[in-house]
Amino acid sequence: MAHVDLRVDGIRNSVAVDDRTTLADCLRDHLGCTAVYLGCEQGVCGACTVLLDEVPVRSCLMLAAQATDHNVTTLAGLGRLDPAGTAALQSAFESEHAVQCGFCTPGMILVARTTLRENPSAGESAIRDAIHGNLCRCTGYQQIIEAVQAAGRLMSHSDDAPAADHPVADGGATDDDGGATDDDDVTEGSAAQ
Amino acid sequence: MTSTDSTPALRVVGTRRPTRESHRLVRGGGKYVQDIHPAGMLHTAMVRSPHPHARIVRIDTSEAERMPGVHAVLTGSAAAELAKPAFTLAAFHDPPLPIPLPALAVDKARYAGEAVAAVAAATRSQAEDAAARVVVTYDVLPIVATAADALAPGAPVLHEGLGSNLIMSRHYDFGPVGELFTAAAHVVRRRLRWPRQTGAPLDTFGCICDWESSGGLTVWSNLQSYALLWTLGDSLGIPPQSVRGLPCDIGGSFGGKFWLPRPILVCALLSRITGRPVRFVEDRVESLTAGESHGEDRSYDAELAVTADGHFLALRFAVVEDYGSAFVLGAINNTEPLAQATGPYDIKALGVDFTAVVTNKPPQAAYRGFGGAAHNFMMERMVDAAADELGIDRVDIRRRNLIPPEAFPYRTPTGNLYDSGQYPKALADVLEFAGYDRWRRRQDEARAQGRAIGIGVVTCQERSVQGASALWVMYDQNPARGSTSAESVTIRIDGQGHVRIALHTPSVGTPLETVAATVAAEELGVDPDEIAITFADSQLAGPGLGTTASRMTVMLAGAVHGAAENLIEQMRTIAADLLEADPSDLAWDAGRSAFTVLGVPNPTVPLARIAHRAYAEALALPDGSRTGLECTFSYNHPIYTMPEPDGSSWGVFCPIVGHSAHVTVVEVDVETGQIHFLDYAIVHDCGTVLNPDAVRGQLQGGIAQGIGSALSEVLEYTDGYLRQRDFRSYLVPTSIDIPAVRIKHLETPSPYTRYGVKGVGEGGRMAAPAAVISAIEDALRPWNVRIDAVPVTPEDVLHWTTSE
Repeated sequence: MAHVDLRVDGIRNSVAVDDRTTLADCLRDHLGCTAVYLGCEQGVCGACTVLLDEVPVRSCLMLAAQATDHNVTTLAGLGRLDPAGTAALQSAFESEHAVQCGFCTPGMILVARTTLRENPSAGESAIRDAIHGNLCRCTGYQQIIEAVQAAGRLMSHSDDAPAADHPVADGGATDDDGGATDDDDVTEGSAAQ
Repeated sequence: MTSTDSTPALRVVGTRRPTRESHRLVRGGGKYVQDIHPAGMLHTAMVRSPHPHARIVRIDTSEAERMPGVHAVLTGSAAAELAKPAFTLAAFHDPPLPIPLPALAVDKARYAGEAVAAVAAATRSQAEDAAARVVVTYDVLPIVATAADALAPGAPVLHEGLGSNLIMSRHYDFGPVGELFTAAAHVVRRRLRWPRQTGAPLDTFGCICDWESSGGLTVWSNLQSYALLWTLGDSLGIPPQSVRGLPCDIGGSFGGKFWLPRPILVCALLSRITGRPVRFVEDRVESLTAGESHGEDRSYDAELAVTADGHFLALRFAVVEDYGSAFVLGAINNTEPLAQATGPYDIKALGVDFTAVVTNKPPQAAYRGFGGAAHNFMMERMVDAAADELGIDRVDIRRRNLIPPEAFPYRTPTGNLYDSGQYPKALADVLEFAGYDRWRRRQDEARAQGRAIGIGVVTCQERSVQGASALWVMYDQNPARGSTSAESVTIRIDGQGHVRIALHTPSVGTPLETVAATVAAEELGVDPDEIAITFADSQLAGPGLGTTASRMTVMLAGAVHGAAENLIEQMRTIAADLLEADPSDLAWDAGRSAFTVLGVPNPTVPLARIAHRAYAEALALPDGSRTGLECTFSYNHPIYTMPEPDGSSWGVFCPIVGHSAHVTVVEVDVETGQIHFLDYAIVHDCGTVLNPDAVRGQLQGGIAQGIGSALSEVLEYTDGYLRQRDFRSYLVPTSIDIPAVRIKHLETPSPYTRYGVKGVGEGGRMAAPAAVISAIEDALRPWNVRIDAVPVTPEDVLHWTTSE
């Protein structure tokens, strides 16, 4: 058994799981996370993407034990981490019809947020490249890319951005989730095919 | 059947608005079958045959049963004592074809990966550990690997009752086929091959069954239709009306989740045995290898009879279809394409030679188009071939043969109608929209520099909304006398005048809620964002075929319109009383959501006022009205006729036909074999566009899958073993593989549907492969390449450009 102590969407969790339990299964089955989906369990599709200390990772390729003492953010907690960015992305994904079945959407939004943070004026080809590790079978990607661009524009006018839409967490931490870890930690890129 | 000429200007239909579904999904609110956990739920792991063809001699479950967390182990033979095989369309054949589909394989495994036993345990890992301890003794049999193997003399027989591996064969001559071929100046001949592919949605199939001690069954699943659920009771020996299927969010389907009875029967039986809810969710490898969701798998020997100046006289082809180890949806993947068999061209005769065989592969399901992608590919390859052989430009030859606009409604050789279209305009518009002439100049300049740019132009049909006979017309008779293809919806106006809609078919990620809200707002004048929409379960649901075959826009629009019309008539009686006028003197003003006296704009009686009377003022209700305002409306396919008994005509079985013209510009890197898209422009006609962004999403997404079909997706078998078993080898396109498709809409309304809408869901995939292949072939003209199959991989390109 592995004893895993990690903060998820701002809530501190302490849970005992089998050693072999993936972070994805821990989040979904033990911690009640509803915005982490399993599409391949091999690290190809990106549907299981979460932020580990603000870096996108494939949670199906991590063991839960590896996340001990780290901060995990799923789409459900992104609004707490980044109210303006989340509101902009959610608004843009809706207005640009970047969502059909919704299965890839959490991963797409988490990767998009990361991309826009690094490069707020990211253009089409930079966004296209950034999301190429997230498969979508419904949209053909174009409206997703346009939504991310639209979100970037919304965020650059951040004074006018819509209010965040997320529940306030009870209890849990009031401190920051900490800065991003170094790029050479587990990242979405290292888990790419 | 209102033509749009008499429809007042639309206020909601056609406006650009976000889809309702997005709001919940961008907040991570999607709840898919893998997210459903009833209390006490057990997990299922399947025991699967490692052999493509083998007799099951013995199954020893004793060790597995003793393992921690295991509640039950079910073998095929035990399941067969508890449940009959699932209903399939093989049963509609007369006599029913002896190709059973039991919950688990009983006597033989007929494909590598077929489930032969199942374990229910407290956790998924416990179930998998126990499944690995089930000991199955097989007697390995020789493999029927290909369609050719299936038909070879002395071939091993998969289904003893069938006697051979031939499921059925049919020959049709619609029109004077033979004469036209004999008289033709030239006959173009090609052999074309279309391999297995699959929708591969990110959300694999799953189900949870809860067997009620009182004898009913609750099923959660991501099936895209309730139709299967209505047959489960018979299989399980319980009253069919006691089966209750609950929908959930579906993360895509593309046809694969239409009819998947086997895991549901397994879970139902395990629930019956254990007294717990039991869940099964495929993992990705299971989904690809054993999900029974593969698409069409065929070869065409095709001939096109043409005149010397390139007019098409007749088309005939022999198609051999490898249906895999069972015949679940019957011949539907060959029937549906014949709704548009001659494409958008004025071809007077069609000959079809159809052969269906079983092999040791998973049984086919459907993949976005029901065979239409393969058929359009064949048609457009034949047209390009005719152009090349006659020395006519590929665009010109299409111009010479497109059905002219005055010919509609156009009767095709099979008897089906094309409802409406402007094919020459679509072609002219796309050439201009794409900048075709400029691309040709750039192609010439590029060639001079040694670069291979190619332009593909295709004009394709996108049939939608099939009628009932698509399920059985190739069987020649209709034992169920089935002629209904309907869709149902329930609308209630509550006591405060709020509209509540219950949809009777699940969405697969398609904007059904948006369609329903749009139409209800159009007809009733309410704010579409204030309409409450839910999904009825299968026990309550009315007639419907499901989200399939691009039918829901047409059928749901018709159903919602019908229910709204009915509600307006219910309200009329009350309104007339309030206005002290005769009901026939009243007009419903949708824009103001109110009744007035005809020609007298005020006073109005608004919907909310009428609703209050209907719900709260029983003593004030006039004669002819009742408490409440609700309607469940079942909308029938708007134009459908039965086939002729003598087989000379299939009747009108799929007449709502969209159309698109694609111009695809690629550059082929002849050193790496890679294909780069330089441009992709289409003119698309699905009649009236109900929601522009949603239509664009279906087209961009469908074309993306079509590009995958053309360039990277294939399910190849070697001696009965699938080589592409996960996403590392079944290559679905990523964002860097797909261009931004430029779309221009041409709206030629259907004269038969509400608002003139046509289906669009499958369209992109049905045309894109032909366009992409045509472009690659054009790019490789200097190497004299003829492309007769998909996918075209970099290895293929290098083979063509570097071989001696």
